[in-house]
Amino acid sequence: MAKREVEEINAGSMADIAFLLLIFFLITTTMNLPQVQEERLPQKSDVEFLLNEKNVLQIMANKNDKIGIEGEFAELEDIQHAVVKFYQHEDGARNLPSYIEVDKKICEDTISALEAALVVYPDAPLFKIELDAWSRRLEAVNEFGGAGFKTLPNNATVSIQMDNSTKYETYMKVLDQIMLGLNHLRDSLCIDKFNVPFSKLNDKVESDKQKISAIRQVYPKKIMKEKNRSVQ
Amino acid sequence: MSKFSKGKKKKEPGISTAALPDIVFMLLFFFMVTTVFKEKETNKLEIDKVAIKETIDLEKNIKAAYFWIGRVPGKVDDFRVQLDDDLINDYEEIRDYLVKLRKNPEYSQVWDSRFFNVFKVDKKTEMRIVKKVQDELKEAEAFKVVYSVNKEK
Repeated sequence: MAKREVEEINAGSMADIAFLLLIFFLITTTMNLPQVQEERLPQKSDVEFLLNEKNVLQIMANKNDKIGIEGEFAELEDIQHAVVKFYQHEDGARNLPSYIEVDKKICEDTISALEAALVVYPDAPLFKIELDAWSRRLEAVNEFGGAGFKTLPNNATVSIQMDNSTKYETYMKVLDQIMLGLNHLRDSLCIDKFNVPFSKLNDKVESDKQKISAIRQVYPKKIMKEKNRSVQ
Repeated sequence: MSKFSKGKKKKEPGISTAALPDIVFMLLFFFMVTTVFKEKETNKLEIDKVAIKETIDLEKNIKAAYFWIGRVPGKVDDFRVQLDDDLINDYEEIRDYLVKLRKNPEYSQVWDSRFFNVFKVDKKTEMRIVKKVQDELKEAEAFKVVYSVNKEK
């Protein structure tokens, strides 16, 4: 019996199939990732925080989208400078928060004091938060090669207060201005410490990630949104 | 008789197309790797996005709930909220929706890390609406919010 020859599969249409797929991806492709602005909502809580007035940078917008900083009318661009001044100013300046000093010894002392306190009161949430904050500060000091730094106290915060009728655009611009000020400070610190601007660090890289975290310890993003209420 | 035949014309060889699929596949893989699918869009509301300077890239491979707040087309001052595919009538629908979403293990596992509430809001929207939506998010313990914006040059 004659052996039947195995028929070859015709691969001629392979190119057509590939073209079809190619065109599909060509059409659906967008090279840029969507651009966003981040925010973390606060926990729902009925507790009112009592804050020292000088530890708060108050930014308001009224129903006509006019901006106020610390109770005085201002332009949008002024927010940036106010934020920079809030984070970086001479120690002991009036109406501005006083710094806390952070270096290796202070970190270690505070951590061991807090750990001792946690043994006595194992469920105190405030101690845990503090312990967490100081451990991250210690990591930052190590990342800076042992150099200490000054940072704002935990309860220092930028507070945003919007009227119910304020436009969403104004809110976004205010957040943008705060981040502009903050990123300016972070950039110059990062160049000073690591010779690279903050915005060029990549959080997917482990060594960069530690640098980002260290810079953030010095200039933390602290924004508190107050209940929307009518502002005169 | 000559050594070189003049009579017969040589047939020109055709260009081989065998390498064509390879080339096409190479292009295909390039676009497959670089592709990012276009963001979900709404067709029920008109949204004019805000442009700001300091933006960050939205992370890849996230789980998200999409909120659109914008004008109903053809009406001047009728701002509505759209959640996924439908306009909502009552803000409490948001809470129910998120609670339901969280029951799905695909979402609950990443709830505190890779789950985002993506907001696309018209710039003329009043903050009271945004606030009401976010109050519902707090009730559902979905705290991470990103606002979709355009990058200002």
